Amino acid sequence: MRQYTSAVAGEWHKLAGLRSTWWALTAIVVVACGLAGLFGALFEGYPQTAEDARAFDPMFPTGLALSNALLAVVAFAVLAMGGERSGRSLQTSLLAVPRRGVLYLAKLTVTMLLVLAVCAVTVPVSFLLSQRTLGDLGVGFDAPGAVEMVAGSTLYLLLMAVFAFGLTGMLRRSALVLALLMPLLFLSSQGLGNIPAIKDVVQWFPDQGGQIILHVVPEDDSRFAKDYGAWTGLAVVAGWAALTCVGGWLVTRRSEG
Amino acid sequence: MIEIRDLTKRYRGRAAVDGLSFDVSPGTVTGFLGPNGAGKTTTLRVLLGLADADGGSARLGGHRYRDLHRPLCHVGALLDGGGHPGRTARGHLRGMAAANGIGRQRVEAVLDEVGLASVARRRIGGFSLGMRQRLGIAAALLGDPATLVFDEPVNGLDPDGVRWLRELLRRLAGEGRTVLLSSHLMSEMELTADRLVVIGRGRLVADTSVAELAARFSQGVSVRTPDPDGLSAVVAGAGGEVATGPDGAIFVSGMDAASVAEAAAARGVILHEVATHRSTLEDAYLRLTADSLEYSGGAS
Repeated sequence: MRQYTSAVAGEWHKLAGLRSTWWALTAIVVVACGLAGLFGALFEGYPQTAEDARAFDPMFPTGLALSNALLAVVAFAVLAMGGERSGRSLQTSLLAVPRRGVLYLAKLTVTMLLVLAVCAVTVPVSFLLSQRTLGDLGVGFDAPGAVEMVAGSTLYLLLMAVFAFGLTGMLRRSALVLALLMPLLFLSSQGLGNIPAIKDVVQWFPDQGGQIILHVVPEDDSRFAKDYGAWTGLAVVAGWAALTCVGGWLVTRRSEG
Repeated sequence: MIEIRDLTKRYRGRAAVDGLSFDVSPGTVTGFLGPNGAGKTTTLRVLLGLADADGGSARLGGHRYRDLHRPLCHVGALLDGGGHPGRTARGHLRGMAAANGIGRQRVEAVLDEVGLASVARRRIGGFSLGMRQRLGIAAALLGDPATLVFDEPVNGLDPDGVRWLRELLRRLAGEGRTVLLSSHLMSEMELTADRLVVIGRGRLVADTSVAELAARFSQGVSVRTPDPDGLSAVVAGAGGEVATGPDGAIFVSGMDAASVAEAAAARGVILHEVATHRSTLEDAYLRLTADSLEYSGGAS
């Protein structure tokens, strides 16, 4: 246990001592808040009739912004895990913490604490920004489902960070993981999961489970509905995260520095 | 105290280290020598828990590196290429220190000791090879360890730096620490090491003191002849030993020049050149490893 807490302190120094860490975290904030404000303004005049306005989901612009910020979150997690291998400093880390499992766990802890800290602030701020720029259509935290949306989205971003971190541990090459995840997540944000022919399969992809809590797809519209609800969807994401997290640990445990 | 026992490490079926055994005792600087590719770095990587052994063991004071609690406080190591280029010298050391419960004052102390205090805030990416080497030495000293392992530490150091390092290593050994210093340069060992462990093709070639090695090889007769086999027979008959030198000359030990020439004349072996040779430790090392490579080459 003492070994673990020391290793966490070491990992904190290592991540905090890199400029790229702060750039990546800043990118999360900028993408989430910037797009949230922008999307709110774009959708402000969108509903033409009273019926349109009733059908309009004010949390949609927030969710759309967060589904783009997801790319920045994933990039940060991949770099935090994989940067050491490409930066040739893995050897130094293994000399300081020779137990691979302890090192992996410490790195996971520090990375996720940073993601959590940033997202716990960024997600509510994005919500408020987009609701403000939505003008009359905007709602507050007292709107039904608003608190769930903010809390669930934060959790979703965190779980996706764990998923990406674990996958990097498994595949061991940041560039490969980014080449796999970035196009997938980008296509997802453009509605990959809504294509009828492949929906049955794609809805079980790791990132899809969060789309209901993000309000990017409505739960009760037959064109978009998935075979699970908002919280079950998050459980699917958690399953994927657990899978790669353990996989990354198994691969890392055997690695030679 | 370092104990290597029957250590074997294979890469893709080829043995990089093959049944290697030796000890390194406290209070001495032990040179770890061998040509490039002899298995020095592989041995050190297994010793430091960076690679797993396929057979045998490498222990530090009876423990595997991986089982050490706060390993930097037991063993300091300098290996090639450490440190993320985007990190500052101070940040690099603080990360290592924090992971081993070592305080910040100690980081400043080792930065001072290796002469990097003035550039502690600069990023490692902009460091010269010599500065990086000094940073690696600082990292090795961080936990004030009883055992130090240096892999090719003089690489990139200027003459002043080489002398500084030599004095540092002598001082560390004088304090009763175990110091293992790997190099492919004998000339450096001559001035620094007390004992020598020489390996070739993953096997032990010699485990001796510098004085013994010098006594064994320092004097002999260098001979050139068109009939090496004949000369070998003559020398063997007279109780001497032959070895082929790196330049093609035959090196005879255990006999002086006059007795070699007389014995050859008596058996009708033609000699082109006979010279008394006072060789350096460097020559001794080259002959030692040349023999081992020939031997291994024939066996494999």
